[in-house]
Amino acid sequence: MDLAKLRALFVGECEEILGRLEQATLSLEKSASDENVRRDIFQSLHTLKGNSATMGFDKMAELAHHLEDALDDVKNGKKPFTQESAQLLLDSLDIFRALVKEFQEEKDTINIDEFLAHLKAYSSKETSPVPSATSTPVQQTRQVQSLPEQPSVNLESQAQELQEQEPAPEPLPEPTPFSLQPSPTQTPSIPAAPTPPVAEPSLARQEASSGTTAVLTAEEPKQQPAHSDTLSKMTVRVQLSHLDAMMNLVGELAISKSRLIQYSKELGASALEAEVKFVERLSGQLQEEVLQTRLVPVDDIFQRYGRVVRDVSHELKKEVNFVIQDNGISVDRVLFEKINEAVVHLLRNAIDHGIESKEARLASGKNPVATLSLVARKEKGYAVIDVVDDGGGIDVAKVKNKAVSMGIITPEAAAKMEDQEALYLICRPNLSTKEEITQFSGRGVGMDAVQESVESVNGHLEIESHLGKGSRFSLFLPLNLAILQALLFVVGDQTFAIPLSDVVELISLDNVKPTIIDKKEVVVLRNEVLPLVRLRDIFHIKGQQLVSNGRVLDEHALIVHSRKSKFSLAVDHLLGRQEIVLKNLTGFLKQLPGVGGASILGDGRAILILDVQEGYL
Amino acid sequence: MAEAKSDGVQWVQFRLGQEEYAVMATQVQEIVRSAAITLIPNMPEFVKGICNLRGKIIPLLDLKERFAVHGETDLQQARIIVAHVETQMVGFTVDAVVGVIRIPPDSIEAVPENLPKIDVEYITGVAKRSGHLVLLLDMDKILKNIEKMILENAEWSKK
Repeated sequence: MDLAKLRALFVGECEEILGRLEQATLSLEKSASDENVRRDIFQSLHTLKGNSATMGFDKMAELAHHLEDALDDVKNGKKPFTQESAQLLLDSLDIFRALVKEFQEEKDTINIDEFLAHLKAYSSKETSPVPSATSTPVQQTRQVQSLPEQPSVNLESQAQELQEQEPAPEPLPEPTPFSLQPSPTQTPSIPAAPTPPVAEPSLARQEASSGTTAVLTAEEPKQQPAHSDTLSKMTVRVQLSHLDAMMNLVGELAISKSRLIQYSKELGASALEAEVKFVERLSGQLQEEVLQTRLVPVDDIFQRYGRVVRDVSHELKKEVNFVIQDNGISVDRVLFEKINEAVVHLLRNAIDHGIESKEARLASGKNPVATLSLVARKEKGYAVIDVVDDGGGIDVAKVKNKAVSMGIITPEAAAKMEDQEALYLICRPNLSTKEEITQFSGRGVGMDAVQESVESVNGHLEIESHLGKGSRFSLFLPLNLAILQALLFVVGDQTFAIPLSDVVELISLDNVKPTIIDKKEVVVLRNEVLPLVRLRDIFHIKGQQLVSNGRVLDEHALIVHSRKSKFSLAVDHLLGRQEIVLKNLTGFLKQLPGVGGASILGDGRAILILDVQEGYL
Repeated sequence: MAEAKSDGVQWVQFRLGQEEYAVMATQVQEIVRSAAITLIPNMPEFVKGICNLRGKIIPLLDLKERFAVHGETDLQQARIIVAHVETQMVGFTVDAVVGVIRIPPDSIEAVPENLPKIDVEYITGVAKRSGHLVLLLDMDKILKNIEKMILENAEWSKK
């Protein structure tokens, strides 16, 4: 194996171990008595030390070594695992990550001497779990200087957090179940039942945020020692490109299979037909399996948010019980990477804007400890990620006022607007109802970015909020990035697909006759005037429409909505709804206006998938 | 390729109408007979469309149209040369693939002055093969040239 591969392997392993360490630390911080988790921490740390020494990455080995030393008493059970130990571990993890990055980029810029001194000072300290509020932050600040590439926000917030730590943290009270009235489109109840936070035994599948590999899981061999149940499932790292190639080939197999079926029918040889049926079943299963390999359990991904919630809530001095409920859902890894930022933003928003201060919560008779839930569920062919808080909810009147004052809507429109609709005003660019801008939200990355990122993966955002009770933000994601629910239709001699999520309604142009208003063709639907776009014209499509007695037969219009507008799209006839595999276009094809990708039909033909979002159509 | 005596790199020789061309074999991934073509809207004539190559969607470019070469296409002989250019795969339709040849470097001549019809930028040279001229093309440059033409001339890019 060449060195580059070895290095990549090392980096991948480090990321995995660091991810595991972080989860274990956070979970141990909550229940310090868990022996298995504690053992896992030190085992991981030891592996890290061994690996980095093997790679000749002395800096990292040294850091791991000193960290082990510093926590030796904790390891041996002589000292309890305190918040301070947790903080030390988390701070070290940040540095480990920076070191891994440095190693990856083949640089040598990070000086860890300061931090090593900090570690030594810690280990030589007598048993005193109370951090000295004056000295620690100073060291922390110096550490910021020695780590230029590390976002300073993080470290500063931790420094501050050390100051506010109390020697004996109050045990977290039970989460209070929280409910909202179900809206017609949602499941009857919000699954916010308290689950044990964070410490799920699937940490071995945990993968750090690289995003370029997917994880295959396999059953654990029986002879595996029993104690390593946090390492329960074996995984193999696979390049995503291999999985994509497999997807392509399996798709081709399916097409070839359907031709085989046709030929065998024509031949009428029953033995052949039976065998072909078998091949059909096999290839179906194979396709299913290949699709599965791209999926990762949501649970694995959710674990990473524990740290964000912890850091932000400490910083804002809010007590938050973070509840994760994954409901056994898996999602496409690549897809989730694309909305990761959106989830982080929603969580930060919920803590910063949604959840009230402790005092305010007490004053309104609420549990001072807020509950923030991150829930995955399935609904209507979507994987839904809910971020639910039991905070103050969104003040619709305030949102409307802000929107009016910013000229986003007119006062008249605001007066007429339903509350539910007005909620979505917060997704307009630059609209944030919180007066002051904090470091956690309101920094330009707003709800508009959240909405955009979820729509970029053909999903959508739903908001529900009740003043005084809380809010729920739901990200509706397609179950698989590569597979799209689409509507297929024909114009002239061409077949097209459009994502079903873009289509609001289908109308027959026999029933709703297009009219001309202001020299433009429109349809008037329930008093709404919608521009009529004829794909035949803007795409210059040849091929005849079906005409009988001078009348165009079977002409339909799709009512579609994009972020910018709502309009109707005239098509010749509809072929129906179908799951299609999304293929990205390359080269100059990427720039095709009005086209978002392509797909392959059962007969092997390529078709274009329309994109109404960019506003060309 | 048992022509042991000849040296030089391998070229894939093909025909457009009566004219002979060749591209470096290293740029060619494969040659396929035909494919179901899906039209792409608002493209110049030489962009024939897209097709499905074992699960990959590739654009098909008509070199004959691009070079304004005349003459009938015999569908029995027509082929698609699938080229791997940088990270892209592109199919070029040609009238016939003659074969893989080795061209000794010393038999490659500079591009003649005042070549009609095609721009000189993507012709790397000319080779004489059994009496007639073979124009040696650089796929990479052709594709760049074509992309530039598409972006400059497309109706939508002017908007």
